[in-house]
Amino acid sequence: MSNPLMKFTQISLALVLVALCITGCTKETITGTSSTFLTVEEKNEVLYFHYSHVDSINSGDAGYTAFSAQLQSYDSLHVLATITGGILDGSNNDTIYTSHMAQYGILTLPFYQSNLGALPFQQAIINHTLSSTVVANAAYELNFDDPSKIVINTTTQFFENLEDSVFLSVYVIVDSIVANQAGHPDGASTIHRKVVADIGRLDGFNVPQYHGYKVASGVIEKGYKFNLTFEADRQPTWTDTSLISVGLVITTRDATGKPVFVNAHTQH
Amino acid sequence: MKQFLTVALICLSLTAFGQERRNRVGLNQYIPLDMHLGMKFSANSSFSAFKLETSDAVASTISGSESLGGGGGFFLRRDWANGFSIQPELNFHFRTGKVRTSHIFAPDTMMTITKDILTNFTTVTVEIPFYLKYRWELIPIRKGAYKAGSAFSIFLGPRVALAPYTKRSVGRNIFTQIYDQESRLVETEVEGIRTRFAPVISMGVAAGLDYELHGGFIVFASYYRGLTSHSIKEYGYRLLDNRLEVGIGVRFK
Repeated sequence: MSNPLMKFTQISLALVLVALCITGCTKETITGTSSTFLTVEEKNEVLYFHYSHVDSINSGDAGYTAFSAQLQSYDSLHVLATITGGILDGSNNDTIYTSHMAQYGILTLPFYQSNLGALPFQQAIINHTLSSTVVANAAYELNFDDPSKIVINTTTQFFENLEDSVFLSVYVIVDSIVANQAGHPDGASTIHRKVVADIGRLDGFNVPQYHGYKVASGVIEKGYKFNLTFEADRQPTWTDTSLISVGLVITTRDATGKPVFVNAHTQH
Repeated sequence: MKQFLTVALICLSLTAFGQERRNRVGLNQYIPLDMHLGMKFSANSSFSAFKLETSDAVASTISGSESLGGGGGFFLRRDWANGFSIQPELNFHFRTGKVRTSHIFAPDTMMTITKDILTNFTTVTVEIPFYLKYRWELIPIRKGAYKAGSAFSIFLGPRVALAPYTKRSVGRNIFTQIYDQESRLVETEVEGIRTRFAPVISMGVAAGLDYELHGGFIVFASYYRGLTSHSIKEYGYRLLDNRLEVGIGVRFK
């Protein structure tokens, strides 16, 4: 037993057994079946709101012209929409207009908001938005099976850790609604571009939240995502579904409760 | 059972080592007579205390386990008078384990989020104990003659653990209920997260006993209690070491 070779063999045997025990431990994995999520792009888009009113001559003149030019340049890349007051083809636009004018203290028309700040659309804002870290974004798909409804399936995803309350607004944007517009040469035949006609509502929770439903709160971890389905009423005249889109807007709140822009998305 | 078998086999292997007389002809011949250099290996069974940090969750649970680990390194014993010694060591230690946490958050009356998080981790630590040791020299009878050299010791001291290599992989199952709508996110491996599991440094205290045969071979057992977490606190929990170490060593001639 005093043979050094024997000692070495026995030590080695013991160490190999230890190693086998260590490596024999299996890694446990998490189980469960994931929901089906929409693909959410990790990118930022600018949210640009143009405020107008069907009875405002300024809106039909300078406002209409300016917004048409912005649409031509930026609609394929960012979220552009008009929040219009007055009667417009039976849509819910006037309620949304009233709530937004009050929320942001808007007194004159036309008025422009970039990323919910009182700023006109300009290249500096685009550059800043595109170069900012993508904190969260959302994606949607529309279902028109029910002719009286628009069903909006959404997925919201976080790309950064966050500790805050997060709100999701679902603006139903209808393009080319024909209605009267003061100050516009087409008068009653004016084509209203990209109008916020309604907001998406959560089934069973019909108290509308015009500045977003709270969808997350507390510590939110990077990669977290969830689905929500919204509904909106569809007017009989909105037959061309290619003219209906949705603007998803993600916000937090400042100390006074005012929405703070995080990101926006629409399908281009 | 596997762990006990391993420990038993290690102890059995010691029977080969008690038969040889120690002479200062090896590495120890280059150091002072009151200093002794050696090496040791151990199999370690950890049963850490898993403790949740305070969170906003309305209900939380934590569980976990750690595999049998292994370690090895060197010791340097310096003898004082009256049987006392000091013994610093430099050991490498390896282990794997898992932590499962479950939290239910209800940040709003319309919102409930259930998060199940499973973390698998691997850590290699460089551990530096600094023991105060007391030795009782024994005089066993061998071949009809009295031979000095074997000793029984107890030791106690602080230990610092550095973690040069540590990693974690995280899986999660998040069930979200918002406004009566449900969705579930299951990820077997979450990407883009911080992969380090253990803090750079942790510390604790250890106590144990060893028996040195007159051939210079040693069998030892020790208990290590962590005083700081060996997981990063920002992950929402603390793991305080409770580790039983059983092993063999050899004091160089």
